[in-house]
Amino acid sequence: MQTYWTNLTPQHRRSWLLVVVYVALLLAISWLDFGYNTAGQTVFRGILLGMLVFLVASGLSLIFGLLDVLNFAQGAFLLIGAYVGYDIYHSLDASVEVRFLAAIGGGVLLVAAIGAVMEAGLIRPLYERPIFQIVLTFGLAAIFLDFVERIYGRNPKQPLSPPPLLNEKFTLFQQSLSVYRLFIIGLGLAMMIGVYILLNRTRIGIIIRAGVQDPEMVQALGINVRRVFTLVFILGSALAALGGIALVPYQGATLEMGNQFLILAIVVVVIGGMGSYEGTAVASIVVGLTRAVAEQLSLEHFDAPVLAETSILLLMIAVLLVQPSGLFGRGE
Amino acid sequence: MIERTVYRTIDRIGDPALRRAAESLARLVLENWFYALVVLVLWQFPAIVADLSGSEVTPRRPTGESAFWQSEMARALVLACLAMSYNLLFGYNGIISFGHALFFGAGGYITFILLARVDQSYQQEALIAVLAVVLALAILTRITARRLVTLALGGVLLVLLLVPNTPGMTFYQAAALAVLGSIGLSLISGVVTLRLRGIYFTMFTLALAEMFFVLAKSGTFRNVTGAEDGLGFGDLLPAALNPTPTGDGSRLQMYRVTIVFFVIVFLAIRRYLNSPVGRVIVAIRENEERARTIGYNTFFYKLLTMIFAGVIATLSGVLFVIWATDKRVHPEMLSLKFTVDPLLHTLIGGVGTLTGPVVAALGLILGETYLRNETFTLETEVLGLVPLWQFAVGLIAALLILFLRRTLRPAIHRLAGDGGRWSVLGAYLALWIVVSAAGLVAGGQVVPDLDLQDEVFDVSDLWDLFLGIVFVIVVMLLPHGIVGTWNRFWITRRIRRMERALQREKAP
Repeated sequence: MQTYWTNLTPQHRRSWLLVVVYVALLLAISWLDFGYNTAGQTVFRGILLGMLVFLVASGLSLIFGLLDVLNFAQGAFLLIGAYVGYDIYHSLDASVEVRFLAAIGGGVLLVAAIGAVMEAGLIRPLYERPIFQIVLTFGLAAIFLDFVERIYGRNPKQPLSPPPLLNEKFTLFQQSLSVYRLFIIGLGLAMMIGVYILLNRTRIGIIIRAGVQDPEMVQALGINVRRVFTLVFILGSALAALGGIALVPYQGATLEMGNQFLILAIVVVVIGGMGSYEGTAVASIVVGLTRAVAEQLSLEHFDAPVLAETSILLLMIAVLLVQPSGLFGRGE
Repeated sequence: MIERTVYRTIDRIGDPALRRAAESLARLVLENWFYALVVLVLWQFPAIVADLSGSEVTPRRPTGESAFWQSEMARALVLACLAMSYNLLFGYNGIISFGHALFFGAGGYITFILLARVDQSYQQEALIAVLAVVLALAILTRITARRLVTLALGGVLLVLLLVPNTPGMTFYQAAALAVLGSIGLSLISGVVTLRLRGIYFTMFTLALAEMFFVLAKSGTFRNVTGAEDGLGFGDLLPAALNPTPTGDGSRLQMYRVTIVFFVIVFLAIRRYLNSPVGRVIVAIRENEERARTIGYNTFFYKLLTMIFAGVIATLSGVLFVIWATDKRVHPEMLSLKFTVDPLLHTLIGGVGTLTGPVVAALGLILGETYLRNETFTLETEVLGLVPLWQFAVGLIAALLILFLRRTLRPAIHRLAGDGGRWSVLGAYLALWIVVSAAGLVAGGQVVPDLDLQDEVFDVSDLWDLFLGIVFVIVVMLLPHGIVGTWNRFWITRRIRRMERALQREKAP
């Protein structure tokens, strides 16, 4: 019988085992060290962070898998989404629900439009010069950051209040949390499953997956693969913007946010393996958990945030030393 | 013209030894006279500015035009050195590192942490550490006894030279240790990262540099790095290197030291590139597989270039901190800014050209300083014809069409029908007019609301935007940068001329 498991390559099977063992280890450490309730809170925070990172990282991974362009502007897209959403939320004159939905819609649409123009106008003419594509996205990220700073100023923005429905409290592991955190996790899960269905169950998805394998062959079969490229780029940038707006009610908006999440997303994509969707999904949870547990550990034992800040990087170095193409990447 | 006359005259010399000497002298002068001229102008720059503005070259207090431009020019030269080192990696070896700021910041931080925070002697500890490393090497590796002794002696000598047995440290010892630290950093990061392919390497360097940025800003090490406020070092600089005028002419002296540093860096990079190693790294850029197949250990050459570029960046970092007006090392030195800036300078000046990064760095940094206090309004007219903002709208529309031309091509050809080249051009023109008109109408709707017409803009506020636009235009349209395009222009011309001469010879 053919199952998911039997279809995997031995390398990927080993990676799955590694991930399961590692996560179990993290859970065990946090339970033994922090006690049941704190451990639960930490794990919840980790999953939350993982979902947010996933929104940025999935775009990065999808775009790289199909277009071979590493989009360093992904962090800037998150930033633009957050600030524009914040702006729309505060400039509209309607009920909170409408303003919240408008913020999400407006931010995502604007960033999608920026992504479309960027792909069609700037990245597409550079396919013959791949180094310049990377340099261009890197430079554009700096420019976008500058734009946002110029328009909205240096001061961090306060978290905005989500609709009352999402602002209610619930108790988990003896900690009172707002439902909004559940909403973020739900959003992340929905996107994870949505993109999975898009990739595996639709016609466009099969074209994308074929394009990852061999774009020239797809073109030869009479499919306008360039249009699919643009579509994937738009999808990736929109996901990042969505992550940005989802962040604002949770922790406000700061200029550093873009780079922070870009670094996290890069670590996720490297750990998961470039261009592998399941790798990105798994790695974002792993990175989120690692970060949260390290934060809690350094809080309880070392009184120093350094461990938390460097933990995911150490994780990335470890994974690269064990498997240079990431956990679920295509082996060389 | 002059060249030909000189070489013809030399050819007439009878004595072969004398002829060879004259030839190499002539080559030296003919190939370097321009650079020598530039250095001369730089050397006399404070005096020139002083003459033009009527200020003093060596004022007692750091005021006046000449003193101001000395520090600005020095800072631009230091950043030009940083750009040259980045170009060595990116332009000549094809390594795209997004973590170059790491080395720049390491120079500033290591030097001044050692200078400001070390208040006792660590000589014994350092000696013990060297011996421990040697012992570990002896036990763990199969190193030959001879190399082991050399290593041990070298290590002990270095420690005796660089770590004093009196409390504290001199600036030069600290800077030398920073260079050693930078070499170590290149070795460690290079061994881990250079084995990664292309994009993995780039991402890894970015993450690594960002990690050190976070560490430098982190409050955990506040008593070492000073966290976000930076590390102040007060008056610990030696008198010879202190650009703040305390006595007479100390700033001018430091300015000249900076020029000497710049010249040395330039010559060192040129020597490196003209050496056999330089040929190999260019070969690696062109095709790494092939270079490896020929038998070169490409990893070694890449690591060597990384170390070389890292050391230059480190020394630039030290000089940059010396010129800081507030006498502090800021965590900003490790931020992305000092990776993006050299990258911009390299791209705009010309990737893989020796002088490109220098031209771009000096032009852009000094240009920004010069225009810093200028202002303009949108009512200013361009060439006395069109208001500035209308001109800007038209320009943006043109650029938009230019960049989208591949996407637009089918639609344009449908519009133009079979009318040939002129109707295609007409269709583009019509599109431009429509887009500009739409932009003008939309702008007319928006502008009165925003009151942009009366607002006074500072150039320094919009400088980054300007840089961004230049960057995009260069990447899209001028892939060889300013100097690269200039070189290509002359080379193409010379080739055409030679072709024509050949044809003329063939004709009869």
